[in-house]
Amino acid sequence: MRLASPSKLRKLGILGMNRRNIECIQQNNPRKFFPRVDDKLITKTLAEKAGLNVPKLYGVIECNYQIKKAVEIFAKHDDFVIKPSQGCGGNGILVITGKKDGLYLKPNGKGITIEEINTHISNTLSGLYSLGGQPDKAMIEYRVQFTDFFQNISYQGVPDIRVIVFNGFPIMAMTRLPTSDSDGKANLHQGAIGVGIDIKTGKTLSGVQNNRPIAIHPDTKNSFKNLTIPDWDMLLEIAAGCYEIAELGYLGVDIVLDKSFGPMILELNARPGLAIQIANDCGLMNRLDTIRSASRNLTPSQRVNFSQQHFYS
Amino acid sequence: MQNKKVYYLSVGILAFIGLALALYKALILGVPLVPCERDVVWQIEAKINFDAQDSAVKVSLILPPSTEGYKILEEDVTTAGYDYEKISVGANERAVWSAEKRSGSQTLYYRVTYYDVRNSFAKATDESPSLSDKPFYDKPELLAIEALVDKIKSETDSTEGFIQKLYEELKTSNKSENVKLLLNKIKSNDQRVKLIVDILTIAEIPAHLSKGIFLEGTSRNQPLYSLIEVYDGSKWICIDPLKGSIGYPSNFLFWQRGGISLIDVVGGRNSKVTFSVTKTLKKVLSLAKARTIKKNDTLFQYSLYNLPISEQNAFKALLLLPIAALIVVIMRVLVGLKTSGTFMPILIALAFNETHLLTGIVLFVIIVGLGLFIRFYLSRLNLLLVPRITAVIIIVIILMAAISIFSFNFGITSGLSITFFPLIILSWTIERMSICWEEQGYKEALTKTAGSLLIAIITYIVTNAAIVRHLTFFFPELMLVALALVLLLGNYTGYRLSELIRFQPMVEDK
Repeated sequence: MRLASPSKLRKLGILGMNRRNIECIQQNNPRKFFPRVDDKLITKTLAEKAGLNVPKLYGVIECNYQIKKAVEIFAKHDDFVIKPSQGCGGNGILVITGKKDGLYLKPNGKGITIEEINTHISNTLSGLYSLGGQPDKAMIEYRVQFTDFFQNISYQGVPDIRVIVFNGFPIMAMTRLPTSDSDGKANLHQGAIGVGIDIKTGKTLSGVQNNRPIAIHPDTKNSFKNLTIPDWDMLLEIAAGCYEIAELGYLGVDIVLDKSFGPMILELNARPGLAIQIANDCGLMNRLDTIRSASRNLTPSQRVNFSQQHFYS
Repeated sequence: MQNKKVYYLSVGILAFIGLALALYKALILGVPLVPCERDVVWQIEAKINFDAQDSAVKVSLILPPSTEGYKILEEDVTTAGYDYEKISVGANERAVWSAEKRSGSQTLYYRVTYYDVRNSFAKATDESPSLSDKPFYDKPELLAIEALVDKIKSETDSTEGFIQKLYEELKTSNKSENVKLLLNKIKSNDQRVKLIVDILTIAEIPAHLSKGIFLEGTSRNQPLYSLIEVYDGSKWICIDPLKGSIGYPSNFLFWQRGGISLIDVVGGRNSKVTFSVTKTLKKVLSLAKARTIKKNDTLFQYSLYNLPISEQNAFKALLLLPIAALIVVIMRVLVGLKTSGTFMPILIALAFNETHLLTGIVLFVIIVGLGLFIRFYLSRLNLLLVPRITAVIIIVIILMAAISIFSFNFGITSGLSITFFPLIILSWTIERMSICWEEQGYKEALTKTAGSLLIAIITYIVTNAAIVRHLTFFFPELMLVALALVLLLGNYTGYRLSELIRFQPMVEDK
């Protein structure tokens, strides 16, 4: 076990947890706006109002007597996703890919009955999957059709793109690739791979797994370097636009890529982690400073322009 | 920026005041900065509670016999409007409070401070003690005692031998019918002690009950401890009646000897005397005294060391908490240790104080391990949060009871101390750990629990250091320094130790 010297870390501009908590979160994220990101239903409503791309909401079940109505919603769509609106860590998400013989099909091909789905919704409402176990709502929404872009560099699960947005400027981005180690989850400290993305070009940089550099995906054996994320500028603009809806100065925006609709906001995060620095092999502090001196009255697309001029690898 | 200045200024002022006061006390007033046995004095406080019967009240408490080994530094009573006097009754002194008319619940204190406590004990001195009157017993019991006495006397001549045989008879697993008959009616330790004294008296061995206090550590609101003193014809010997061991203890203060009553209350009911003991410093006491005002009741009001001793002892524990919390802050902000529950480690450390470290760790691991195991089953039942935690609480109680019973039956009495663990906190730990286990994997859950345990162990070790206990109690103003430190750490934006490891790969290739 070796220690880095603090002065070297400072020279590289690496942001530590204490500084993030005080200078990024406490100074820029007013607590009263936290529900906007902690409750996905509020996020979605705000995003739709602002014209930002999100998976379309098919319906919401708020209390037990509405569960009966769920089947009417299911009838209108071939496939859909049921989500707790305040879930965390991807728990309680039920994906239905189709219907067959009166059964609903899960991604692994197994069929489940409407009663099983209703039990799942009932559990969601009772707070089984929510933060702190408080009563929750179940959202029924569009099932994202993932682009083929990630097919060769991802193992099961849902690869997404995390953009850190500071005062409305996208300052750093990475994509998170599930592995067999991470059990198909896109969570870095469970063993998913983080791959940095150049803000200017949308090109992938080097990858990191469990804090160690990595060049090829351990499951698919494909390299993930130098790939260009499709619709990159549009993606950044959506991420930048989230600042207006959440009004949080330091924000993590999680975006997925849909085959037909392009980049979509999956969720927002008021306390995004620091691993993105390792994935980009670059500290956040200099970029934060650049933004602190930038003009405040810019539109999202102007802010994206500013970021792309200043941040490149 | 203005804010920052005010902040640093106030932190500086806090630290300065704390340090200046402590240094003033140490350098000018001469309170020793490190614990030192020479300056130690023992304070013993008798607290008398009774309900006055709306009439004239007279309370008289026997005082400890004056002896060589214990020099009285000072005596002090609360009078609470009573007339107070010390009177001699025979060889003994009594503290007497009296008042015209009182009603309701009354509390009186008598406090005595000893210094120069050497390892000398106050043996009974009576050279030719007379036998006490024969105790009264029903015929069958009296016969049983006499038979027992005859049996033992036929086996041994010496008094010491008699006592040993007597204990064997009382303790052996195949008790004789006589002993069974006698023990049948024994419900409490007090009755047991009385029975032993009575048997000795019937055997015509001069013996009496003596009560007093062990001068060790601190204790709060305890009754007196009973010993039996026995005259073997040439010298006095002492028995610890519950342990059956023979010999004078080295640090026992005799308070009351023989059949003299400990307390008499006229005009009151439900009287009760409890005793608290604390070890303190002569210097600190004389300072506290110097600051007192001449008149009685208002005195001693502005110092911790003039609170009733039982409260002082409570504060001794409380004053350690800032140190414990400071350790938690340091471990999280500077080291970056992951824990489950912010202040849970402090409560675990407090429990360790009662259980001792090693037993504490073993018990903690056992109970959390078993609790987790059962909690995993509960998670399959899909229960709501509050019922689920309640279920965990009940299960933890059952586990505690099971561990206590199990260990007691195997003769491991240390297992009994499990009740000192904070039950609700343990249940939350189990709950949080199992959620963490499911959401973030077992590694994360174990790391967090190990982190909590590590902080608890460090806290235990630090707060048990003699120097820390000394400084926190005798220099409570150092709390201001701790506060200043915490305020500073609350604004610390530097790296954590764990981050120096985490970000090490980024430095490596540069």
